Amino acid sequence: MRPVIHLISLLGILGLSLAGITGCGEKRIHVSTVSGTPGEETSSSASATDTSGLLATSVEESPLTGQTSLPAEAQADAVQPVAPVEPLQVAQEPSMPAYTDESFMKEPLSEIPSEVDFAPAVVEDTGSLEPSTNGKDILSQSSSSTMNGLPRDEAEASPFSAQAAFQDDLSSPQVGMEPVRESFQVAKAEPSDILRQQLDKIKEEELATASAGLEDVFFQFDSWSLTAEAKDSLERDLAWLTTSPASQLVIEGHADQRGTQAYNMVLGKRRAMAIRDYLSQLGVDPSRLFVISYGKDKPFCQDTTEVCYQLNRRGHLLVQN
Amino acid sequence: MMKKVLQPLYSILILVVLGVASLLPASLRGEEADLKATRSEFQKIPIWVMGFSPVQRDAGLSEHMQSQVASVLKADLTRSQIFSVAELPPAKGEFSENKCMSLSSTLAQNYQKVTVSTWGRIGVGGTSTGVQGLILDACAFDPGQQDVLTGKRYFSLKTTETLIRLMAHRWADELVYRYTGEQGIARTKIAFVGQKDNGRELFVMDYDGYDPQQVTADGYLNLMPTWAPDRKTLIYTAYRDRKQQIMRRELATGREEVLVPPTSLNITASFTPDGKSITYAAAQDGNSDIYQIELDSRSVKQLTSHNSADLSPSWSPDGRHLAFTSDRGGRPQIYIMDADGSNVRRLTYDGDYNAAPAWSPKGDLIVYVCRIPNEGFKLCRISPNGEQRKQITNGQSIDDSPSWAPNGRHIVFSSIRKGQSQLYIITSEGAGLEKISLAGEHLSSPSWSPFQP
Repeated sequence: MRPVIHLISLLGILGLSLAGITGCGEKRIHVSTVSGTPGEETSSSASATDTSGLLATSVEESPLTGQTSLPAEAQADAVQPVAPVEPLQVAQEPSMPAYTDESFMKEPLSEIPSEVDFAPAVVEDTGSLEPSTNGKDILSQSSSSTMNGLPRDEAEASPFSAQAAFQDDLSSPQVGMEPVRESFQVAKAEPSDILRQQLDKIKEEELATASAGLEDVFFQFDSWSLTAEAKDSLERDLAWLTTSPASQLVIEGHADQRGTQAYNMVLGKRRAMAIRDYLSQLGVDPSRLFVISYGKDKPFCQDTTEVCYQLNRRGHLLVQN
Repeated sequence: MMKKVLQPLYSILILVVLGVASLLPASLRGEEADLKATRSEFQKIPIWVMGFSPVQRDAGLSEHMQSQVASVLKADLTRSQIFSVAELPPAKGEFSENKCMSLSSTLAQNYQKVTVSTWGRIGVGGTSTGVQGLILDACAFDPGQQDVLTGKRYFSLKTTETLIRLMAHRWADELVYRYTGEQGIARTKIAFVGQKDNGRELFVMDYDGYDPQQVTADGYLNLMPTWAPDRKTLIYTAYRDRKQQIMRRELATGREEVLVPPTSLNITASFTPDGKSITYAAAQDGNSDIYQIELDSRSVKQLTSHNSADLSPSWSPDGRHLAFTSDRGGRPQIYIMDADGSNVRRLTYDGDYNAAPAWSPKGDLIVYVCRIPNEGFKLCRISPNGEQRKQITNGQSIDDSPSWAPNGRHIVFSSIRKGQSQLYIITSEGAGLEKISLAGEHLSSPSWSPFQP
């Protein structure tokens, strides 16, 4: 819908401006360059007023259907000067943002809290949301309505009556009134009991791991293959695994902060799997071994030093009972 | 007199050119889109933000709140890269009754230096006005045409700083739209991950870093949020019982559900453009592959099946292709495949580490993380046909997780600089770098919301 209006406005503007150079120099041309803001106004109009009466173009848009209709004579006026412009067809391109009137009108209005006296009808009465053929209509519509149930004269007496709006005349081609409210809501985040239990369990596991004395395994930059030292560590860990045959292990793979979060998640997984595979080779039942990656999101330390990077490129063995 | 006729004509011609360009489908207007995005300093529209004066009515509007209008508006206009805010002294624009008045000739010296001047007034309604909250009247004047371009009245039910900022954002979007025909981004949001106690939680904030709101409170790890196209829900990776699962959370209600049950790897989830499915990378024992789950039926299909890591799927806006990271060639590179997983082709060849692709909502560019020797991990961008590659961030930093603004012009990303991981924005041409996160530690995984519905 928008591209259509857009094009038509522009055609109209071009037509007018051409007319402007070709002899109506003193004529007052009144152009609203782009009518309305998406999400804010439903009525879009490109209007032109020329005191000489030679040219008058208006574009109407019904807020209900979103159809744009151009009066026949205006169409002739507007389209002619730019007939070679191809994109007329393209204007229907569905990939353009769909600024439907529906999304402008219904959503915001229905969200106005009911305890407030902003009946939707009131807002519909504002010029910006009504189909209007010209500015005069905007004025007359708003004058004939009341905002908040106030008597009209009282509302208009105040320079801040929402309903009075800016009086429309030639010096303000577009008049818009909009309710503004915080429509974006985020439910308060509440920790749940289940999650507390999960955190408690994690603490227990860390304690069990500490008492088991399992060694971490360290990796080289961007690598998931086990070094000789890493294999030595795992062989020492094997002793505990053999003496605690009922225990299960979670193998955490970690990465340092260099690289992307997503690819480091894969890297951590590969490190954890390399450890699992080696422990299996050493005779540990793979069904006792689980892998998880934390990528760079659960670092041992936060410094940007080589020492810290090395400490973070690790496989961590966690006892899970 | 000739000058007077021609001046408006030029601005109209520019608008016609811009307008016609925006009518072309994205695939046909690579060049034009590029021209628009590269609006250099002299092409920007000079605007004079004259000021927003208080209306002496009921009390309740602090000087600080009143000053927010101009400062938020100036920041929005500058950030848009469409306008350049002129350094001119504040001035009082006129109203007559409830009407924006043409600027008086005493201001001509200043306003003729700009293409548009804006002013307004802000006050708090009272019982007599019919409005209980804020009222912002805003005007725009076009010195070239010697005419009031537009006037708007914004009103609210309450008086809060958030609402004042929102009104200023709306006015900024109005001006951006009037001069470009493009929807402005001043009311978009950014989701991200931040450190909270020992966990990493999801947050949502305004696009300029204000008003961060905590979304999750697990005390554990919640990572990689992305928005649903309707802007109502986030999907993300959550750790549960030492596994990863993909969750969906409705922001307004807090309602959560598991979309992909826990396994050892469930990452980089994103919506298909139609919002009906989610694409993600998962693995049980082997390397990660890309899967797609339909939300209604929960039917799952596998898009890649390769003995390597495939991850970070990002859809073209027409839903016909996906860009993704794969190390099937030995090192991580960006690849593109068709929507059904067929026709895989490699996109990036420069350097030995390219990852985390994000396809522009305009379709014309893919931004990604590229490793640059002696600098670190930077953002690069490239067109889907492999042309127009350009490095867009510079210097020593580790940049990650680029995400496009819905206007296809701005990008938010995380960057570790001097040990601090914070959030920044930049344009796809590398202009307008700005740190937008205002507080918090270890911020990561920013995701720019779609436009407000």
